[in-house]
Amino acid sequence: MATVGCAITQPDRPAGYAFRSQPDNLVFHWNAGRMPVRYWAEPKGALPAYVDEGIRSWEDQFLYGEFEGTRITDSTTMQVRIEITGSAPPTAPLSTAPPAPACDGRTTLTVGTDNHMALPIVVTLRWFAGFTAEQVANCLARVTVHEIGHTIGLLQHSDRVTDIMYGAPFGVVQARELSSRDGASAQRLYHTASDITP
Amino acid sequence: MIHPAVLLVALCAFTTPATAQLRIGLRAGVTGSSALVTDSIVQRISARTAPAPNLGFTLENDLDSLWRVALGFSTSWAHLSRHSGDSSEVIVPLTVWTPTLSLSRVMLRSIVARASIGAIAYDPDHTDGNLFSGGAPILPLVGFGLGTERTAGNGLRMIIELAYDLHRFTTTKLRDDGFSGAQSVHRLTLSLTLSRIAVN
Repeated sequence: MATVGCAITQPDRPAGYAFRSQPDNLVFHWNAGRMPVRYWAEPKGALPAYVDEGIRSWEDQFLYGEFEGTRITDSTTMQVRIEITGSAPPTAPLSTAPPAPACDGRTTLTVGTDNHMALPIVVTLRWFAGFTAEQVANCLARVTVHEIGHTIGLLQHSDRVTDIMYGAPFGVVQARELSSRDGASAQRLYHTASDITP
Repeated sequence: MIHPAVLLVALCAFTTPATAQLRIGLRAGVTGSSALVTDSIVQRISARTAPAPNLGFTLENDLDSLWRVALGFSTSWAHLSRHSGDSSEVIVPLTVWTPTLSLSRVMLRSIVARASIGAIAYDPDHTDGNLFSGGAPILPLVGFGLGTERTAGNGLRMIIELAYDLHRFTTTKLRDDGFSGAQSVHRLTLSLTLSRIAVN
């Protein structure tokens, strides 16, 4: 017999992974007064497009406006700076080719003793010679989304290769898009009180 | 959503030309709504709008001395907010459009009862990072109201009405994220309508 409920039924969300900073065990996320978070991307290669896609991917994990980001072209008001060291990377259409270790990235958050974070958060990407343009482009697109995950407050790595936040010491990011665990982790983060204020 | 042309045809079909009296009215009021979504992430969450002002107009036709049919269109502006624990944050400014077709009857003395069907369309200010990111819904709606009316000179009529309507809310994004079913949303509107004869 079919029944019609009066209330919407929420999904069973996966458990997700840890997001607190280590070893101090602090939580960071942007608060509503800081939205949309302003990202500035160095205009090298296709980096601005990767950043746009990264912001959109993370925004899409939320239902209640918890996180919104925007890419700005005026760096004077940036809250997050994303740059690529060295020369402009080769560009190529993104593909489903197997991942190659053609790049890496690092996100630096500077937090004082009062748990106040200095802005901007800095994301530094590197690409390596010896790989095809397609491999470099695929790698930079993935790693950019991964590093933007850190900038929203996911301060640990997942131990599952299918998550975009998979990383050291388990391995290097392999996934091309966010998993349900990535989304569930981000949602839980934004409904946990933040210890760090930007 | 019912096409406006269909509503107009229905309005004309219900009208008896010999007794037709077309009135045009302006409506202003305030609408309160129950939660659009309830959820639980770390703690219980609900997404709902605060009581919101609304404005609208009506085209009403007297079928006889007791029965009337009306086409209405109203809009309200609110902020959709998420509430969890004792905190709340705005999700997105929201405009709500509500076209309706109503049948009303004059009851005892100046009491008027009304039943309506129609649609409700949610129009968010933006869709990034919220439950409207897969598109804003247009949903069927039913309602009824009870009001009291006063007639003044020059064919002017004033109605104060308390109306209730119901629709079932969901969005593409909610379904894509694994939500099932739909949330019954109850709305109450207190309004003042001033109408005058447009065509006698």
